[in-house]
Amino acid sequence: MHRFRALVAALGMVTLAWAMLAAPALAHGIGGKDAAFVASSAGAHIGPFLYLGAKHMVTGYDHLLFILGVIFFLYRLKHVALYVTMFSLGHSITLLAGVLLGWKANPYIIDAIIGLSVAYKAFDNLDGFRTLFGWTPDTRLMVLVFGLFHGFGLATKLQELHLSRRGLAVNLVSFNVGVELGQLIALSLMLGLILLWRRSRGFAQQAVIANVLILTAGFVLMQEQLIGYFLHRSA
Amino acid sequence: MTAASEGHAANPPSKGRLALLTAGGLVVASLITVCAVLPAEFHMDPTGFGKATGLMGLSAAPETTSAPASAAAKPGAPQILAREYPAPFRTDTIDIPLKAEGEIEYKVKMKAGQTLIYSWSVAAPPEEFYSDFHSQEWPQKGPKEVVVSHKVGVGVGGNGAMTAPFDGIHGWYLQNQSEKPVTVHLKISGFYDLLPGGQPPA
Repeated sequence: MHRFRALVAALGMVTLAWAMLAAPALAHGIGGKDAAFVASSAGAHIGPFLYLGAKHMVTGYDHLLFILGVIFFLYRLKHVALYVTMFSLGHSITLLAGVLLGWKANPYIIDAIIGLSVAYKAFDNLDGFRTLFGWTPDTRLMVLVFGLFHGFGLATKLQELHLSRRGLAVNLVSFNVGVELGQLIALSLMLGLILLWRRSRGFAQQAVIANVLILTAGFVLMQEQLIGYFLHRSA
Repeated sequence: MTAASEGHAANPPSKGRLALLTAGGLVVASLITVCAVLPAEFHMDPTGFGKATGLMGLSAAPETTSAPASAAAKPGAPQILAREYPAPFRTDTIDIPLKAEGEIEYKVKMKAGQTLIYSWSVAAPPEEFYSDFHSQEWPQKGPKEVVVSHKVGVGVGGNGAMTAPFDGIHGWYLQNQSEKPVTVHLKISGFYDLLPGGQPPA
């Protein structure tokens, strides 16, 4: 019976992942009228950039999946705060420095690494490093390092939009604060759901399946970006 | 839950099972990528799954709809390459001054099918001048304003031609993002009417 319920939960997650994959253009970059706004805005615009930062986080399933993986087995609020701080620290450093210093990287490679970060955390959740290699990399350090890559991705995408130098610092900090707000919103929601889920009897078994699915989603993200890289490099 | 399991599954799978699950995840991921992502995102369909499920349509769509409405070039339909107009064409050279961080809409009035050619340039830092070349329906026919953008982005000049997709006002939104005043030099020729002050008719 347990097995059956786990299967139903797993199918639900796969369907969700599928639905998300159907709209990657929506979920990932900054597009459409938002992009036009960013390119046409000179001077400080705190409100809009706050919103765009938050929107980018809330609708960016690659960031969300990583955060989900990070908090999946954290039972103490203290630990949640610690890991989320490591992640925020990482992506803030590269977001701010990246845009201000004009660092650019190939967005496909960065997004592939972000996909890898999702797969890494799921594998770590399954205790895969200890089981297979007898050694687990320091999770706090890994979350910080992958945070750096997530921020680098944000910086690369913002720069593609030709940010005006006028009011850049204010807009950038606004965007960054927005990212943290969006993360907080998404985090609260996920934490609430996962707390409810943990109280159900089948959680332990379902949690393993869920992490295998997150691992799978991470692989898909990585493969998609790598294909994009090779196709657009030759084009 | 004990603190010992903090951060990891309380019941991690055994070595063999973990290897199986990870390999399974990789296989399923590759299947999703090859069957669904490739056709939907990159318009490649090695398995035929994309065609069978209509996923190919997702990636083909932008190519057929991204052309501006004015193009209306149906394959097979003869494209109109020459047109005649009742009056001779006109030519105007206009200098548009813009203050530091200033902006303006400069538009002309045209009927559907009328053509103009243009060249414009501005001495501004290339990353600090933004323009949006577009057509706007006028007078407004419905509750929704119809606007077609021809070219949007940063840059300090452009040369080209445009045939009006509909009766309306057509031209540029120009925005100086630099801290110095600049002047846009615009030269247009063709079939159109100037608007007083570049503003829409009342």
